[in-house]
Amino acid sequence: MAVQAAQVPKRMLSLALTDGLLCLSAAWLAWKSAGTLGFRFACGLVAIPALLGFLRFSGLYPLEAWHQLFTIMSASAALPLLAISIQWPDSAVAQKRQFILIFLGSTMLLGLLISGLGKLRMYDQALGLLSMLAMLLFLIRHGEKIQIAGAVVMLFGSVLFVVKVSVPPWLAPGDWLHMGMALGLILIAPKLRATEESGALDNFA
Amino acid sequence: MNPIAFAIPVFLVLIGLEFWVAHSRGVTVYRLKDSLTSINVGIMSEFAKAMGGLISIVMYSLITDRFGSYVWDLSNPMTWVSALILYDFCYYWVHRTGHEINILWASHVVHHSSEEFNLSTALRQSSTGFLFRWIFYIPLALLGYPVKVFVIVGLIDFVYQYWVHTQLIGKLGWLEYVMVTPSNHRVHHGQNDYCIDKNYGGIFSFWDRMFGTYAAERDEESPVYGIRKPLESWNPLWANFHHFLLIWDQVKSAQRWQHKLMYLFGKPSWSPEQNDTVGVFQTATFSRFDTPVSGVLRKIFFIGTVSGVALLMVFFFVQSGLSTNARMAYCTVMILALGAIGWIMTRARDHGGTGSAGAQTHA
Repeated sequence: MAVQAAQVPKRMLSLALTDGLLCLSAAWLAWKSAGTLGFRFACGLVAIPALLGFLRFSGLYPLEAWHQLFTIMSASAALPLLAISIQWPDSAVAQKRQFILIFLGSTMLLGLLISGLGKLRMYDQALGLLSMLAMLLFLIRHGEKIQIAGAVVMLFGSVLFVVKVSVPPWLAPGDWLHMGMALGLILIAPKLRATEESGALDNFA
Repeated sequence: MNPIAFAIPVFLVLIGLEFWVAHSRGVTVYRLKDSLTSINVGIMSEFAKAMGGLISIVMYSLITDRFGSYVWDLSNPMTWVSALILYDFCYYWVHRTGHEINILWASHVVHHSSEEFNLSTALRQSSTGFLFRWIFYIPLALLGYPVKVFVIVGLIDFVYQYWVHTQLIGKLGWLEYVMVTPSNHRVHHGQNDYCIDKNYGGIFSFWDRMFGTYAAERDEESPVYGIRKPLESWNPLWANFHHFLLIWDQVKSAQRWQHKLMYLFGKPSWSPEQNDTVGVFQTATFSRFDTPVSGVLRKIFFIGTVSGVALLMVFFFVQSGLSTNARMAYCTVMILALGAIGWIMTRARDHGGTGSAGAQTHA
């Protein structure tokens, strides 16, 4: 048994650092955030590809295929869940574990089939961008300034990644995505409503 | 050649052997109509798999090729041992979700629809499970286990589970702690309160202990086999689709989308009024399904099943030489024929057939 051989160019160090940053911030928010359960699940799912990215780009344990797969999962499932949790914090998908799992299960499966196996990367990228755009539009109307700034940074970083901008030259397009996501999540999270503790939704009949 | 073709004669001989041993001990573990139905359900599932079962292997191969991250040495026994353990772990979750998520239960319920427990019950397999089971084995594909390993350990897992469907073998001492045995699998097929949602393991029982779903067989309360909403039919088509139709009706009648989702993905016992509460099982008043049928119908049922087995074996031998259309036609005709036989047998109840029997009270 052997791990696939991987070449790790030195310029990938920045990707490792920014992925590490994203992993730490997303994992922290998944663990400690006051946001809804849906928000925390979404953050947890963002942290997984970030961890794999850190391991890949740092050369510590390169699992390139897994990094790609979980990036697809994150874009096609975690970001839509993030958008739902912010726009409809009282909804069952934002609050109740069972509905979160149903949502994640179905969106991840679609992501796997369409982007992963069908190689139609436009699907998860478009879904991710649309989710961020929806978050931004909602926060412009209902959020606080700092949250709007967070959503702008998140969307900006993702657009730069999708159009493959690498300015300055020592930053890869992926760095913009990682930094935008990390900073965006950190700015959006503190003002979110918490998960309802009464468990009233357990009996939503 | 499909390896199941070689297993079928062995399975049938073992059914004969179990029947003979039970008979010589003066115990009744078989009822003709129930066992023939189990065999017909099994034949139907093989034809259904022949039509679409490749989906599992295709999806597994695609995922391994695209995302499999390790290369495994097939000459190393540890590759096979680790694959078998991981496969069984995934199987535990296939099986557990098959009981605890309504839409998946709709597929798996057929296996539990027999009110008897014997080796023929093991053949009562779902015709729709192949559509989604592959999803649960994605971890193996991501780890890069080749499709050949996946298929072989899958067969080992499947064949192992055959022998645990018997009432003739008692508790097996220390083995109960590690392996799935007839005793702990009897509990899994029981509908008594202590049996509900227990013992999901395929080969190893330690998964159940690990995840809190283990229950030992009670000497003072033998399991009563079957399901809480009885099938009441000998029709393998109905056995496969009745719960899907029930869910369809429930989803259609639900007013809120959360309720629609809960009818699909909640526990099978879920309802807006009761949530997940499972009712108390009344052992004393339980009666097994039976229908009065004439001797002629009985013979037709028996001959139909024997012909079904024979035509399945023929199919296994000739399928590689058939065109896709011919294969599909063969399978469709066989599925419909088995459904027709089951329908005739069940219909005898509605029309007051001339045989003996009626509902039997479970002792």
